[in-house]
Amino acid sequence: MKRVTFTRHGLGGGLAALLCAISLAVQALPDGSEVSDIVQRGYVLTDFRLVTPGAGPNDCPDGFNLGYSQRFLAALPEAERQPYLDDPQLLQQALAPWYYDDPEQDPCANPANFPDTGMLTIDGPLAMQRMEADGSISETTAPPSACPAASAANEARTIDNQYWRVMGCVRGYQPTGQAAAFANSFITDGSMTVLLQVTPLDEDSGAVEVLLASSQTPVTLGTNGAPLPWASLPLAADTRYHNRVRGQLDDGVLVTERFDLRIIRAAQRLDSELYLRDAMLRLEIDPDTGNASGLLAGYWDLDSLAHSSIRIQDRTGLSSGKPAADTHGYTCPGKYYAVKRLADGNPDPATGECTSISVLHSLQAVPAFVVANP
Amino acid sequence: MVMCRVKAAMAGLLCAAAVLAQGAPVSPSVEASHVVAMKRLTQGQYRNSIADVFGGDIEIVGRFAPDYRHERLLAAGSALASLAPADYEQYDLMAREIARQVLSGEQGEKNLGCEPRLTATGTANDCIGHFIAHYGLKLFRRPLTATEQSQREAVVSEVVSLGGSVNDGLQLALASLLVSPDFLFRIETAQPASNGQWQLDSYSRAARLSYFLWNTTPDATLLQAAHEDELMQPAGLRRQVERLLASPRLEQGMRALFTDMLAFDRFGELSKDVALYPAFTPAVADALQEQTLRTLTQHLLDAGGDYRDLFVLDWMPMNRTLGLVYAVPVPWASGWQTYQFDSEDERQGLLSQVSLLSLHAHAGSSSPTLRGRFIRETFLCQPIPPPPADVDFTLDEAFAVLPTARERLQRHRKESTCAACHHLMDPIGLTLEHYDGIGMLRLRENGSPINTAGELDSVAFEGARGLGAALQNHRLVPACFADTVYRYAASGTEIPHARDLQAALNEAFAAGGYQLPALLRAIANSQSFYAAAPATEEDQS
Repeated sequence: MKRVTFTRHGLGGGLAALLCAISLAVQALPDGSEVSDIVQRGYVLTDFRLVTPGAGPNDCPDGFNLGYSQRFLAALPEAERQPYLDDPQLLQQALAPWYYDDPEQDPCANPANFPDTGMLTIDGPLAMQRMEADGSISETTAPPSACPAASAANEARTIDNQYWRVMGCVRGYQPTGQAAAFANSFITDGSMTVLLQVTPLDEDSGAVEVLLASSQTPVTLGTNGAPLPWASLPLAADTRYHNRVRGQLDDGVLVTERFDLRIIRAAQRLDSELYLRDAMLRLEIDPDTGNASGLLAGYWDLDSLAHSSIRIQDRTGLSSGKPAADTHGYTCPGKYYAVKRLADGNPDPATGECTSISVLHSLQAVPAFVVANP
Repeated sequence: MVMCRVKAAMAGLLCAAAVLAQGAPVSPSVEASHVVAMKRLTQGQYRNSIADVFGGDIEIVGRFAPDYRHERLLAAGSALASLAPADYEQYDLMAREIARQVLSGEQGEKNLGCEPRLTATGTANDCIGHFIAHYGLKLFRRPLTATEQSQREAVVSEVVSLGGSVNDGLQLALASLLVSPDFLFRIETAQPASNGQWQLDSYSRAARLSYFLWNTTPDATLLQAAHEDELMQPAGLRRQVERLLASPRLEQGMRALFTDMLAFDRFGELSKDVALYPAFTPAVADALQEQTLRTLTQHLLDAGGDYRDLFVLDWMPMNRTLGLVYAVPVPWASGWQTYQFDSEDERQGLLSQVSLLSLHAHAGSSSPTLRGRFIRETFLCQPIPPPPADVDFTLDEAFAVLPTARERLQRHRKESTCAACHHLMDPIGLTLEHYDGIGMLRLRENGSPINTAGELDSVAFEGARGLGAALQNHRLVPACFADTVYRYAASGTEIPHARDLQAALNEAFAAGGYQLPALLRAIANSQSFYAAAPATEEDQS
């Protein structure tokens, strides 16, 4: 039994009107039956994380990177280490300040002002997921991606995951590390809500418009602690976080064209954004559950990356980069220079240096209703 | 030491006052009157009464005695409910705390409006007397007798003589009113009429009317009408009934009626499997009750709708919380607005609301049997007996391998001991099987498609829409509602002249287009509503 497909109540002047309409299309039934490709669908992300497959036995021949505490301890004569190991507060005091009043003094707020402390990265050939130009996923063994010529177009390139090469020898980014453990806390604690809406443009060709946007309304959690489907969630008021792109939906698999993506990337007290250039989304829709899962590939703008992932500026204006780096096990200048070294996207025509780095995110989503901001 | 003595004396006085009040003549002005019923205030009635007498900011702290459901209604059970000693202690604590709030600080001065003190001879001054009489009338729903009045004034004097303050004494006097059976119970008294029949007296009528239509204590106008015996005359009674029906407070009263009729008090003990039904959050549990109450009041009161149409409504009040249970978009950010379902949508009518679907289901599954039973009993007034004591529940486990409830119940009904009752319930409840244990839509169970065919009293149909239409057209549905409302209003176990009255109410309900106000008006103006059993020799003695 098919319920309501592609309801168009209130459709008038394009997508804005569509979003305002009360009768946004009823999509896949709660039990997922009879999912139709021609139904407008909305989703809310329940899982959004970096693809960090874990370092293989030969990927980090020199071991893992060290954070500030570990470096401090390693530099001490062995006889002097014990008091710091016995008293973590003593160690904290020795490495103070952790939060700098003067950003100029902060190696995480301004890593470019500090010398490269070095960062161990995965530099050998590596088999890992990459997104091909047609949106398919490959996993062949390949050397690090190089920064292309300024004239090269990103559209024709395989999107690698060079960011994993940067973070692959960081303990906190292994599958059992802090990064994975806290990946979805940003969603469940209400800091980061990301919506997806797929609107059919042509029933015969499978052409769709995809809206990938932030919402400032927290997800609704069920009694099991997971985000619930079928919530009505408004778009963020700031239209910079409304990303629209055309795509193709065939047999339950959606692949978008390349697009620049900007979404709010808030976490706890942090307030930042994720800015990907020449991104592509591949989404698979499960006909049994109505849920969706997929991969978002793209080139992470280095300035955005430095702000959100090295400086980690919070809402008070202070940088939380140093404690974060120490928790995961790296230094800010080390990461800053490693990212620049392995950057493989959007070469600057003037300098020839790449200004973005390829990165892969995985995502899962449940049905939701995307509604206009009241 | 002095305070200990005062407290001990207070406790003794409080008990004595309660006992005295219980034994005092209820209405000495009518010599031939006798008590015909004592109906314990429900929790809602207690709260509403306190708010109306003292103001809405009084906090009530304590545990209420559980309300008792009899013949499907808490209202009917209130005539059978008593108070155990442990419960009485709780009401005593509540009474003292309320009295403290009423008489403390600026609010206390405002409530008094004068200076309470003892005269040179140690008796209460007019201020004390007025305070006790004023709140005594409101709390007992009738004027205090001279004995009751003097007992409370004596309490104040006694407390002062033991070293307490006048305010302490007043608090104790007020608490004794609050813990008296004359407040905790609606004590109905009857008197002989000129035609030789017995009927409720004026103040009992006022209380019955007020708790029926507003679910709270009579207001000053109604008490004044009772004082002037206006309620004993048809014209006067009609005037007051119309006033009560026109008041916005009618909604509060009707919400209490529907809450009782639909047994929403059971939500307090309802739990669902968190793994199977993560959407059943506390916020959802609260909102779904509100949704149904809003549906009922909007349709039956605001729109003056036909009661029978409740079963085929294609709209529901909706908020964001419930939107995710119904899987519908809710563009409005906060509050309730009407959601219009598509004309072909399976959701239609009261029976497809998640409140009823979740309440009449198991913790981990739907239940066609419970849903069918609920519909039979609540909307058709056809009680289903409980399962026999020797029922073999191991059969259910053996049938658990069958994928759908229909298949499991078909096997179950092959057992002759089960079939007799199940055939009355299951064919109704199976039509709601597209809704899981919390009322969310599903089309399959354990991978198998769900068949929602069913029948009600030889009328075959499919799904919630078919069931709604069948009930809309069922001749017993309005009659059952009239009976339920009457039994709720009378809050009694024995209805005098029930058969004649039922016929008259059905006629009035039909003539009024099956609109709720027409039924309320017919009941409230009916002389039968105030009829009482004659006094026995025991009563007279």
